[in-house]
Amino acid sequence: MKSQSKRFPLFGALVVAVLVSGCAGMQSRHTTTSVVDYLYPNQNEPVAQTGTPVLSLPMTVGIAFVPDKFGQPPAGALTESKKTELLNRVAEHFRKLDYVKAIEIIPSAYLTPKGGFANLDQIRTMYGIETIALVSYDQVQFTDEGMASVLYWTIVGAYVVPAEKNSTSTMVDAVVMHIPSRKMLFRAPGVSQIKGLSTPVNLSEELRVDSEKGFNESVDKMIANLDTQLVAFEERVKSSPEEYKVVHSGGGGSGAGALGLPTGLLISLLFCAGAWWARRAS
Amino acid sequence: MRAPWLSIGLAAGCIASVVISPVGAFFIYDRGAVVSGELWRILTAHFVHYTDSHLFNNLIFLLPAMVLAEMHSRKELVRVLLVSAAAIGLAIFALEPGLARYAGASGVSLALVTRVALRGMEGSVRWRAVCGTVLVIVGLKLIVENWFGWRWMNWGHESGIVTVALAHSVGVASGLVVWLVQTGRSRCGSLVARKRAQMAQASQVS
Repeated sequence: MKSQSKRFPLFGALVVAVLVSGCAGMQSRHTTTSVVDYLYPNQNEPVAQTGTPVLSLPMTVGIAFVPDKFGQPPAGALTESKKTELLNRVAEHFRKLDYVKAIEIIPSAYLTPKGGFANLDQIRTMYGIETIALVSYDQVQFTDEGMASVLYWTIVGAYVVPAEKNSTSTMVDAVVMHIPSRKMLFRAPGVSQIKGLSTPVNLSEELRVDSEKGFNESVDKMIANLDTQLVAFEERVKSSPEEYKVVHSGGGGSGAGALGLPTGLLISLLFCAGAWWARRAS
Repeated sequence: MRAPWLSIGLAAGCIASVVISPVGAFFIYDRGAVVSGELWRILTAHFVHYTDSHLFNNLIFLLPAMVLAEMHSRKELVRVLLVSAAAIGLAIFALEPGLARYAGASGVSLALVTRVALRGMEGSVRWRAVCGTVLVIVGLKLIVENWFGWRWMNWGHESGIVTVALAHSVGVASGLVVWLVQTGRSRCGSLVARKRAQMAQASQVS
């Protein structure tokens, strides 16, 4: 009986230690938006037939984050100001392109959840755009506890020992759509992986910092990928004129001094043969 | 016979503008850049080409025209190139405000061909026949381009790039103007020389 009462404090301490160190446990947080959910909300509806995209250059391009599936952003989702900041960075990079007249940043409030092409048509009329880059994201954050988390038991440890292992995986994906033809022109993703440590006390703050860092890195990678995809798309437009039609509107066309091959060849041959013929006579 | 180094050099420059894209970007006619002070683009755009096929189409015509002009007189080649390049560039700037970019040597090529063919009209009978035929072809080309809106676009389906007929018309006009000025000058020169000779003769007699 005595020995049992001696063992009790030891058992109790063990239980408390497990509870204290395990109170955080393994946590995860997932925020996501999807272009497919936004554009094709009703799976029973047939997908609209796509026509041939007619790209009118120079073009005004819209750029927006697709809204959350249910309209209410979950905890940890991007704030509107952060979205604008990220979109501004993308827009700044592509504004200098010859064939881009302007880039319009469209606030998320203008895109209705599951709005589909009907919503895009409204935006097209509102902003006078034919092409839009829809940006979606997927971020998962995990928090695990390291061996040092046993020191949380000392209470002070919970404030000073960074034993929470955080891992943040982010993917940002831009899909460039031609609204009138309902056709995707190209897409470019950007992914990042952030790892960090924190104390339980500043865990949420650290996760927020990692989340922002993850979005920043992913957007940088997405911009680089957009560059590559844009070059590939230009090649595709040149090599497949039947798939994409390009029309130059007044504002800033490209002109060429180009002589037809038959005219050029004819005059060159005439000059060369004529020079030889005239010299033979003299 | 002198080697046509200037023609070869300019042809090499044309090739470089396609092969090394920053070179092309630096010299192409870009309306915005011209407005902000990069005036050289008005002259240099004619030696920049968008693609290999665009270059080939123009070079096949430009190189023989440059060589023919240079073999006669290097000064004449430089004069025609400068006058036509400036005239075409300024005409595009003034009359085609919607054109953001322009590149291609067809205008200056036509100026050279016109100048060479007009000079050829003072040559032997056979050479006159050849040059006369060339002038007729050039004239017909301008008519079908300006009156019937016909454009030759065999140098690739470039994104929205259109052939600028204005460059051809101004090119031919530049060649004609250079010829008229030179002919007028040489006729004036010979007239003055004849008058001087007559005056000298008259003074000797008196």
